[in-house]
Amino acid sequence: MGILTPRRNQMLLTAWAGFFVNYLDRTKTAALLPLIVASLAMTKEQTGWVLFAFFIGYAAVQPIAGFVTDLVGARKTLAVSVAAFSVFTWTMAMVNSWEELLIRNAIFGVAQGFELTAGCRLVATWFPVRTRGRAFAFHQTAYTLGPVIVPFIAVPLAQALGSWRWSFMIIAFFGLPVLAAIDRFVIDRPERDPKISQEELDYIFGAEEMANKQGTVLNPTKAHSQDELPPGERLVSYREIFLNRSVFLMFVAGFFNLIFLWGMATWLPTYGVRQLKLPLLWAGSLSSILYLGSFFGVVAGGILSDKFFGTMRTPVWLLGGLLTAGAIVWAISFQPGVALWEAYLCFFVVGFFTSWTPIGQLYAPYFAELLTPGAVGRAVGVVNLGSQVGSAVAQPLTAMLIIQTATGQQFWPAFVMFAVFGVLTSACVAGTIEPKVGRPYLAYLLSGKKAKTAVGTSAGQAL
Amino acid sequence: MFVTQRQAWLVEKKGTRMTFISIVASVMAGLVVNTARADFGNSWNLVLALDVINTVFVVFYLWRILREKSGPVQPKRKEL
Repeated sequence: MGILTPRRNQMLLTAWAGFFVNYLDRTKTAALLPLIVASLAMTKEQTGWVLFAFFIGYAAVQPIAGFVTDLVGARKTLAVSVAAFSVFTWTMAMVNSWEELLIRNAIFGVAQGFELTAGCRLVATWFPVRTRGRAFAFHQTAYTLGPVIVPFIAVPLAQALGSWRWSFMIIAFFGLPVLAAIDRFVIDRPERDPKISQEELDYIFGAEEMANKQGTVLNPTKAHSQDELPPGERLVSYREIFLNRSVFLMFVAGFFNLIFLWGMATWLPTYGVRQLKLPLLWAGSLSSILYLGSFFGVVAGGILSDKFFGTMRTPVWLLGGLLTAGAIVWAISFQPGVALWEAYLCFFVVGFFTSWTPIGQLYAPYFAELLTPGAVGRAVGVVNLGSQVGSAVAQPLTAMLIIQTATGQQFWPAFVMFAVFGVLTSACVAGTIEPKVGRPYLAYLLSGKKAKTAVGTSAGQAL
Repeated sequence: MFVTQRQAWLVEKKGTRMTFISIVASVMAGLVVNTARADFGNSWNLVLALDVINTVFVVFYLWRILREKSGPVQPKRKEL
């Protein structure tokens, strides 16, 4: 049996492809920005507004996307999102002015916003607890590979064809194979898939769960008893989803998390040129090294959570925020003349541990285990709203903290802020409930590893 | 008011899915009309052809996927 024979793996690869094309599509605008700015004669402020518009569209739609995913189904939500951003990509190639680009970039952000919640919901529903961390880690590698690969696709296309507009026209086609794969491989729930084997269903849900749960009410907030629900789901109320201490702390952690993640990723090339005095090519490669570190970090974090921590998710996040902060403190000391290998190693380590933070990975498995897979879309939508607000403010906040000295720009105040936010992210995680032990992980350790109520059944989780 | 009446007529006659697709098609047509045609020079016909091909495939797959009645089952009002 090949690795792509199980239906869950076919679904996962399709969700990965959707997320990868999503990231390829959104980061191509940044890669082509110098050409777009020259073509539309945009000022620095106008460029900032155009980029900001994407995040506003993306952030604003997150809670709605979560609801749509859970209520309409992940398959349809994913398809509509991929279809919409594919079409809006080519319409963006036709803009006449920066105002048009701003509006279309905001709509493009809205279209892209529906993809993530659907992908999360699918992975949470199709994989059992014991492999969910690694499956979601694979899904998350898409966001680390997209930004590394896009300069090698978008820029050569623009150079070869004479205009940035052609890159948009051609990349718009990348969504079509994904749509075909969604049509063929993605089904909302395993037990509704006519092609799945009984053996695979037993692997996903367990034979006993499959035998006992035959319900058809797919919205866990609408069912009246566990019997009405399909396998793998449990009853949850809206109060348990939205007035939940852990969901709230994840919202705040996501805000801090994406400020340092996005602030670091977008400002690194400028930091390399202005502070380290590196040639543009080497400075630009610092971002690629960061994402390369994230790629390995995502994979390692998923394995660590599933294998070493026995499917606990929060220990990885606790380590992630603190170790990221430590690696950023190392970077603060870098000045012109720093060995390139040392800078590369440092930012690889930053990227590696940044991916161990709550928005880097494991959040879909976490919500599936804290709540139920049927509520993952709504929980991810709420938490990702906080994260995207963090993304939106990351760039201006970082810009404000860069100081001008006699020898050039210094980034250490921004790096100190990133490190503080790394620690704050871990502080938020320290208060979240670890579903497997029914209490915060540190409290579990301090109590001599005494677990509380079973996974996701504690009414005390509500605020 | 006219737009609302028109949408209500569409929903009644053609169903929600066709209304959605027709609204999207109208918006897309509007976006294509307002384009930076000059920037594409002699390749404008190729651009239009690519746009049409892309949109036809997108609409085809959307139609296939959205027509299914496989969405979540909700309990009926009477059962509540």
